[in-house]
Amino acid sequence: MAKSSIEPTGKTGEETYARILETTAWLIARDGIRGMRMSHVAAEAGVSNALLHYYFASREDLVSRAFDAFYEKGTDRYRERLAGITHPVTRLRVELLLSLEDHPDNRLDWMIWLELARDAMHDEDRRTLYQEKAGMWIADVAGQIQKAKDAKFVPASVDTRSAALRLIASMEGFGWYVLIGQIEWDEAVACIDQAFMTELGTVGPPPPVGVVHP
Amino acid sequence: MRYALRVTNQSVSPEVELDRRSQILECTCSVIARDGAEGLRMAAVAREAGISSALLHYYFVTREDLIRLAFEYHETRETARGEERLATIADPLARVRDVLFRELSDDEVVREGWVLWSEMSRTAIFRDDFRASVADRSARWVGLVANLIAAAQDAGRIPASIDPVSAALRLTAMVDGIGGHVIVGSLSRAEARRTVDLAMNEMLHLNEKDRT
Repeated sequence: MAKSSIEPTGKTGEETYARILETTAWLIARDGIRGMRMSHVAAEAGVSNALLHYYFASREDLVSRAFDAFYEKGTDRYRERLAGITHPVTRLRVELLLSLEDHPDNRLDWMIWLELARDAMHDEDRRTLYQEKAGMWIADVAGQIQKAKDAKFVPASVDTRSAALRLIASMEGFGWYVLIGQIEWDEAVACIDQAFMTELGTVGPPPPVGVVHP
Repeated sequence: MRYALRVTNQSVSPEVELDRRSQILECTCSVIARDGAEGLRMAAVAREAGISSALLHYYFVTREDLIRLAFEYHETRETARGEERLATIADPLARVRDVLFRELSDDEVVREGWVLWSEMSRTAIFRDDFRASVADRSARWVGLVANLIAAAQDAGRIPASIDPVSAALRLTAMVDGIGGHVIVGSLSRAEARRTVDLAMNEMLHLNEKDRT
């Protein structure tokens, strides 16, 4: 999808570029994808409209790159917390639990993700974007389940894709329930942990202290 | 769909009032299903319903009232339809399956429901009245599934060791997630159904003959 957009150069350029994308994600959570204005992004990120338009050819381009960065950022955030965890079952388990822990980033992340899903019901471009990102997420979780199966930590009878799909769908459901105030984060964490054990037929080694809340 | 109400005077019987309200709400549901709630204009709803903006404002003071009440109208109607369907199903396990699979059907009313839920939830993050409304309906949905699971337990089809509320919460959350993928078109209905079937087998510890 990347058109004629400019890639940033130099440290300052990269920082500005990252700040623009982060601001965009935050404004998408607050105002919705359609309500997000490039002029607001420029003002909030403290850059000129000219610079914003220099980096991003269009509003569409900005939205699509903001979601790329959003996905990457999530992955990076987990990477830090997962450092040192080598057991494939524990890695996946911790990753799932982290996505529903009571953390301001999670609230924002779920707001942005649900906004993408919402807008995808009405907009063709967004539908493509949602399908792409959801596909990457499912493939990532499926890959981890496969690894755990290969290492014989998870029974071979587990259907890899189907289990990945159910785990992700459950996380989305719980994230949604938390946002609308139906359940609390710690309940969501407990539920997804149960779902994890049901799906993979294993508990694996316990996650490191400080990851699970309940 | 257009409803020409041709109202000339507002001193009408309570039944007619109710009917008009329903017609306007039904119309609002289809406008939201088509365009989303974000850009919803009361004038557009009035036009679609074939009534004046003044009359629409007589029934619904604000745009937010109209959206929230349309959502609640949809949910109440769907609940009633669900009860009618359930009354025709004798098998307690089939009843659990029916309410879960209803969310994955390709009925236009179900799609409309998905859009309304997602629009309501979006606004619920910022507005207390929307949050109360959507959390209440969501709790009823989980409660319905929990009751059906408990009934299937009484009939000996699901082990008594399962906690119906916790199982219901996990099943509905998963169906709500899966359904989103179906509506957006990233998952086929066939795969969605198969996925939920497998989940029911495991989560409800179904015995061999009940597994699908």
